[in-house]
Amino acid sequence: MKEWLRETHGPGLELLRHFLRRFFESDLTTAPDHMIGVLVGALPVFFQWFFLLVIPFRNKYAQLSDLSTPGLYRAAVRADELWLITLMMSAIGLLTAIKWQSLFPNLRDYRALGALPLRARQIFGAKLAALLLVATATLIILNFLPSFGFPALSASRWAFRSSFGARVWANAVASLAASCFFSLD
Amino acid sequence: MLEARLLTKYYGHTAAIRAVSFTVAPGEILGYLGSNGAGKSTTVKILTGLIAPSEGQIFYQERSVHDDLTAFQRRLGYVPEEAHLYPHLSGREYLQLVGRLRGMPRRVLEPKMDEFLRLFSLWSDRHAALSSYSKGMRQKILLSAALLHNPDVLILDEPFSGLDVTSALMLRSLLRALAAQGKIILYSSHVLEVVEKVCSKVLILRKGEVVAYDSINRLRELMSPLSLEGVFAQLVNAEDSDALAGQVLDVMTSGDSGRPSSEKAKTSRALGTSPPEPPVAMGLRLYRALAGAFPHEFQNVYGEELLQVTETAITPIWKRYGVLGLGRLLLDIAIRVLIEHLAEFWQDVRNGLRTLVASPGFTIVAVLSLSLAICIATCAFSEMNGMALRTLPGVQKPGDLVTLQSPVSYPSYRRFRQQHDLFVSTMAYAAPVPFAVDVGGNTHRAWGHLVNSSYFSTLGVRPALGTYFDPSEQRNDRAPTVVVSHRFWQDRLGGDPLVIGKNLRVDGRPFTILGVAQADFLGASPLLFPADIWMPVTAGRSVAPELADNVLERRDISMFFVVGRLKSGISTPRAEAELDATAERFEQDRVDFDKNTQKHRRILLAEGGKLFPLRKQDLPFFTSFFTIMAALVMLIACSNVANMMLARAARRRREIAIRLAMGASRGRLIRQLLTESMVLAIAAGVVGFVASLWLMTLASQVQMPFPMPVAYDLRPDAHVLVLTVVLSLCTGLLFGLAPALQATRADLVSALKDGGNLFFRTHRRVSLRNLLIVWQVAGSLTLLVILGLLSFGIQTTLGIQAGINPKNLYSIALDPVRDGYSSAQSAAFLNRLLDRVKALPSVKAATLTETVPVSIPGTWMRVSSAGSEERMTIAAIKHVIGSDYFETTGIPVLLGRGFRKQDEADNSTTAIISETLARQLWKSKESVGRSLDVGNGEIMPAMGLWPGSFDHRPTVSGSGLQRFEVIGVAANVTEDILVGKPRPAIYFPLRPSTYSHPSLQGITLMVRTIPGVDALSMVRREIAAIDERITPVNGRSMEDQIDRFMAPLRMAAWTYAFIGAFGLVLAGVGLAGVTAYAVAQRIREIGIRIALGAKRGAVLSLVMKEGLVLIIAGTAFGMCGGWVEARMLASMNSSVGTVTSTSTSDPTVLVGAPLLLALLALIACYLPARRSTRIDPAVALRQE
Repeated sequence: MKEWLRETHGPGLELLRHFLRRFFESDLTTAPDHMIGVLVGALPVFFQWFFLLVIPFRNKYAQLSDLSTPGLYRAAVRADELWLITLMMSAIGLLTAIKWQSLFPNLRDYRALGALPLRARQIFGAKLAALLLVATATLIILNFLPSFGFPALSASRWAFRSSFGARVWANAVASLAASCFFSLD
Repeated sequence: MLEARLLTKYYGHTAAIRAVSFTVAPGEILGYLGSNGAGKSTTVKILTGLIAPSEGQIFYQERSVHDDLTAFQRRLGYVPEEAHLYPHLSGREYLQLVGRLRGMPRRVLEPKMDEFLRLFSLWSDRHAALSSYSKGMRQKILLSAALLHNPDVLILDEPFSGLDVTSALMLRSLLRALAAQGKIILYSSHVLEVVEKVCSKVLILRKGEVVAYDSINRLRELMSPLSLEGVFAQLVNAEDSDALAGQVLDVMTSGDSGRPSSEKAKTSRALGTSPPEPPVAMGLRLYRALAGAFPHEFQNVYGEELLQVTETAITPIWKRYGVLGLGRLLLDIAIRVLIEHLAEFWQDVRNGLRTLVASPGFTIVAVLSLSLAICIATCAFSEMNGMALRTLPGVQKPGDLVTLQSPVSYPSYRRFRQQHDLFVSTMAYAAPVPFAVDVGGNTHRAWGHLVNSSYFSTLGVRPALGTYFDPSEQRNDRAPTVVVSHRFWQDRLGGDPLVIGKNLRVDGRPFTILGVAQADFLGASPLLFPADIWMPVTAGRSVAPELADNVLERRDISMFFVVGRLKSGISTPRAEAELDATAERFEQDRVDFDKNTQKHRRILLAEGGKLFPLRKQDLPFFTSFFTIMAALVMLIACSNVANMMLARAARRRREIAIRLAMGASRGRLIRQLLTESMVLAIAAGVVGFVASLWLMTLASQVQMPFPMPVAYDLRPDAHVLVLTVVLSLCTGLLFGLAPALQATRADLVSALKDGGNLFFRTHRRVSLRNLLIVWQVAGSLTLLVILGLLSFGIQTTLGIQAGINPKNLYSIALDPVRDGYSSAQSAAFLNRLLDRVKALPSVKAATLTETVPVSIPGTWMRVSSAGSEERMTIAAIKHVIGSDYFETTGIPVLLGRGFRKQDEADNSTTAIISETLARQLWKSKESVGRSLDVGNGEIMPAMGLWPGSFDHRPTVSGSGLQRFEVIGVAANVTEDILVGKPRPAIYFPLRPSTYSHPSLQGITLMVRTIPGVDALSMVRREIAAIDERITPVNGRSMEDQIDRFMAPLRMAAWTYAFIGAFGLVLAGVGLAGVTAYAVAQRIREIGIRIALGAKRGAVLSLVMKEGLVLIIAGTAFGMCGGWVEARMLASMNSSVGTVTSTSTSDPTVLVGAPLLLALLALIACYLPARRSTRIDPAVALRQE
């Protein structure tokens, strides 16, 4: 894979990897690949944000599971699911708001790439693909732990569906769909 | 051939070029000349496809390029006039990008670009970001990118711009060589000398139209025969330039088909571009990554050398030493990286210290501000930690312990103990229990717990010496034993290591010391009921009056606290629910659980492993209140220091600009400025922590108004230390980052110029500094309003102890039963003492009483009017008093009479009520002779958890209604900690049963004397004269008692006032500093204004106006914040609600706080503003 990446490929793929890297550059970084270090550091933070909620969720649902009626438990599950989905939507919305302008070539792209044998649609396509890739990766990273974690933590005899897999699937689809809806809207 | 036919380009209605036509044949270099704005770049952009022509066409090899622009661009090499590159890419990455986008395979691309980098002297900077390249270096990268794919057509737009002379000469030779190879070259420039040297034909544009298009020879006639470059070329080795150009040409023409020449292969090997072995390649990659991690300055000096040496040496190292050699090499550089960073950090610290020492005024104010804020935050957290968060010392797994919020009867405990599916183990204890302990012939009052045998095992504490109780202690045939605390063992027993098995006289009886508890362990509730003695509940009533009346079998006496250790997997709510169900079943026989508690449950659990078993609903108040206060103070201090740092950073603009100009990176400078902030913050952290340690040690020594010695250990512990460290670092980051970012964003040119501080207002109103000021005013006002409401609220609600006369009134408590007396002996002793004291000439009145005025109310009773149609039931405070109580305390009896000796009988049915109770029961004071029912079965639970607020004696909580006759109405006594309506009170006479089992305070002798008498010593002498073994306790004057009672609230009021004043001073200092800075910045502007005739009043108002706007904005935000947060705190805790609601209508806070702050802020603005009016225009203008 590494060797394959080092080779030259078609302009579409070359542009795609070029624009992917551009996503992670900002004026705060001063050296090439500086952002990779920052990203590597930030990735666990984004990946693990859900761990902050593990203990509160676990205690809360342990208590709610002991109740004699399911009403309070189900209301809490519904509220937390909606909250998590809203959180995901907000995070993706924020990302979209910050990065939506990356979809279009800027002045620098025009001047640096304009004289190269590239078509405008190739540049636009590569930008779109890069944006979608980043958004998808963010969606997956942000949703990965909640999709598994929340159904596991909220497991109870009062759960709507007892199958863990089904709950994970439902949670993941709902979060991803909501996030996609928000980012594409 | 490249041909342009009638190219025209309009921008709007303006023609940039008009009908431009030319042809460039292979081997020709067309010089494209024109003055600025002539249309050269427009033509070049049309030729490269960046813009389309409005009219005309371009043909390449007889075909229009617009038919297939991409195909033409593949054959085109273009060097633009301005280098618009991706700044984050390195030079090598940019070439790689261009090569790849041109479809060059790796095996061709990589050797080529490496060769170009070397030939253009960019090799050492190939991994540096393009943003760090000079203009000439960027131009070389553009040239390399244009030549990479060996284009047929080369279009150059001012390619010599920024190039050094050697490179320029080389490029010139290269162009000639390329032309010789048959390339088509268009060279756009306005430098005739260069064109003359390289071009064969020239086209001259003027205002977009071609004015000359001919061979160079015709133009040459118009030019000087020997140009400057010619002279220079003769002086330097022009042949070398030609040779270099030849090499570039070789590289350009080399492709995938041909092997490089032997010369080139040699160069490649020298550069390491021939594929190394995988371990070497991997090692080299890691080495480069590590070398890139060196500090920027280190890389500037040694970076190139480091890489060159290693790139040469790594293959021999691999061959000679193998993996170990490579590992050693990498380890060596990794350690070096760390050392260099540490050295740089140490250098930053030293530099920071030097800078701070050089500005002592700034340093002192900043450290003081921050240390005060950190001190307040640390104290707040210490208090929160000491009160609500700490766990029981020495207890195993305190998180598994739960406690019942209210005490229960011992039979109920037995029921709960059987819940084996919930608890690993349970225990019960009664507390607080006073003991008279005889040590070395002297009797001392000690406090302890009556415990069952599983007390210590449930808590999981180990003994320091001996053992703890086992189930056999419950048997009555065992010799009585006690366990003592480590503190008691050390202080009272001299730390005797052979103490186990020795006798200790407690309450006049000998006990065997069974064990000594581990250090710091003071029982299951050390904050409320610290214990020094633990005695089994089976000790019997002869030792502890609390155990009288068969309390272990009675369900109607709820005096035992229950703690359980939950089984693994059992949640608190589940345990609570199951215990509640048990209690409900138990209720069938007898009500001993109060159903009116929270959530309509009989059983509520709290955390048993905490020092303070706080109710769940109170926890958010404890945590939120302290957090909000601390955060506000911290933010104000940080804003203040950030403002000063901003002002200081602006003063250091030149220094920072010089550092940037000398090559320091922005990151490095930010790090240095942040290090200064961190040094400040850490210094403040140390001072703040030491101050908080001192303050909290003082606060821990405050005497609380409880009948037993209750000590709150609020001293900071390891948790608090960690918080202080984190707080200091965050503080440093918080106030240091924004100024550091702003300071290093300096414009070098203007910063390096003297007098660069002449700037007129542009975006001043929304600058970071102004936002900080607004925040500071808003935060200070919020703090001021909240604390003002609390402080004034407390001051106005502090109870006024009216109704009694505290002057020359003294009290001293006795408990002869605890000293080994029987009930009868106790009664006889106390009455004898009373008679003796009354007989003293200096004593005006004396009485015995169980309840003392101005103390925590013990018991509330439900009192009903008897016999009337409209039966009223009122909750009233119960007092048990002796005859002459009203005379002694000075409480007037308004109607009827006080108690007499004959009322003090066990079957007495007389009672005296307060004026308020009389009004509430019968709407009038005329109540003497009326009857009332006192429902012992309806006794209300203890009010809260405060020590001394429990009274579980059977005489108090016995069952059944009892009818009493009102024999008198006493005046109201307002003796609450907070002012309010007088509470209804009912007074009962002392009975013989009270002597046998007095309350925790014992029986108090109250004495009123003539002035100037040491009444307490006098009474102690009388006690000793009767029996030396009797231990008097809590002897104090009534004025002392009132002071002690009110001390916690007074302390709170002063604390709030202090914090508020601190916020106020901080805001003032910040505003003054920033305004002074603003004036200093505008000194030239003000000087010019004054020189132009501006009046000093106008200048004053100009400066003041700016500050005023910020103050008004901050005040508006602050008032909103203060109101919202006061409401929030009030909603969390009803006491705060009571206190704040009394002052929310008080204009002192709502109007006074903003006025006070505004006044201070205006003074802070006025002083520097006034200084601005004294600026001498001549001096100000000479500054440049």
